[in-house]
Amino acid sequence: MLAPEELDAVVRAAQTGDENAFRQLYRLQQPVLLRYLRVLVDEDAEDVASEAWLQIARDLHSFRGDGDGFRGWTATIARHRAMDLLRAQRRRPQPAGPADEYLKEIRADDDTADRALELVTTDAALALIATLPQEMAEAVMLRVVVGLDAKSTGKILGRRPGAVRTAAYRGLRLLAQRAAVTHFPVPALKEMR
Amino acid sequence: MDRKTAESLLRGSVPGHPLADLLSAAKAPATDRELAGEAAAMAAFRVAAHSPDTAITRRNPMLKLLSLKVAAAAFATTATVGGVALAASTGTIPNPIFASSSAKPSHSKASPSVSPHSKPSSAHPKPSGSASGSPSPKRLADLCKEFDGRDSDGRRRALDDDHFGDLVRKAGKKDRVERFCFDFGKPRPSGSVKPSYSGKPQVSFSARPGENGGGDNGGGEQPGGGDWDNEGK
Repeated sequence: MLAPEELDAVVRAAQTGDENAFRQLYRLQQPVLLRYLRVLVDEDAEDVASEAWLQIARDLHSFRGDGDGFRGWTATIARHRAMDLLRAQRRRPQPAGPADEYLKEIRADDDTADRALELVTTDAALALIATLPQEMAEAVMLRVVVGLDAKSTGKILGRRPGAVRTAAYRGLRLLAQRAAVTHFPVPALKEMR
Repeated sequence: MDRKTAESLLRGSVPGHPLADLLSAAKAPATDRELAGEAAAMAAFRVAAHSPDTAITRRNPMLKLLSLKVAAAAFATTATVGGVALAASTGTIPNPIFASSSAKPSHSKASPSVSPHSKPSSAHPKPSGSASGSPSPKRLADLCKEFDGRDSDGRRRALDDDHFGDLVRKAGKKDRVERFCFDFGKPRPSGSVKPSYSGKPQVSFSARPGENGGGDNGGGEQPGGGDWDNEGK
């Protein structure tokens, strides 16, 4: 994780065409955007993220802002591309289905135990967050995973910071209830650390 | 859960809370799989960095004005009335397109610049016999490249276009084409990935206004450039 001033510098370097800087930005921000997109468009997340990166690469030179601004800007682009897709498919963001089934599938797919464990936990967490109503899921993802404050999150969602806070709190409360009834692999998580 | 705890959880600092594990799993370090698109993103960055478009900051109001003027002039020269006068008035603009045509406005020279959306497909005549038999990987790669290069509307239209018939058949179903191309593109050498911006018309000044005006970017993030203050809708 980069310190805020470091991120500012990396963003500036990438804007002047520094490839290594852009690579750093990608590695930092891609997992974050991908996870946010998974909650919005589920299995199309990778495609939408690729599209978002094309646009980020193209428009970075005209971006104005610091490192935090970059996080918000990229999340906005990712969200717009996701909304394009949803509009095109005439669907609404859908919960990724019961977290339990999702887990089973992933376990069956992966052969390396360690890797499976790692994937299961992140995937399971995302799957559970995706079961929340959209506004709560987005608020939680933007604040926790993308790392934005309530104000920036509100800007992306077109809502006031207060409304974003409320949505995020409700989301957490609902998550806590659902985590308790879902067989969320909490012991596995503890082992991981 | 009180608001204070919730806020701390959102900021990631409540050790031992039942949700702390779940939330930290959601932001666990990246896996390799998540970074699989790095080569494609880097290729896009290189293309953008070397494209003549990017060298020109669209933010510069003088340049914006200039590009509008050039577009207007291009339009005027193709129109029947007033073309000569307008084109002559722009004769001082140091633009490569008009360097030669401004003194003596010619319809044929100006017209390409007002139609930046000329179909790329016309440049690639269909190889004969491609409808029957199995298309070559090269052909599929080309089609994917072309398909990926289009915007979302363009891609929708492409699915109904015979030109992309091979691709649809190979993917199995129309709605699988995007995924097919995405997977197909993975092992591609980095240089050839996601070509959309290299496929842009070379005439950068005049291509801009048309592109922005007709774009389907639903979101507000493009015309404003990077000032993301204007972007959250």
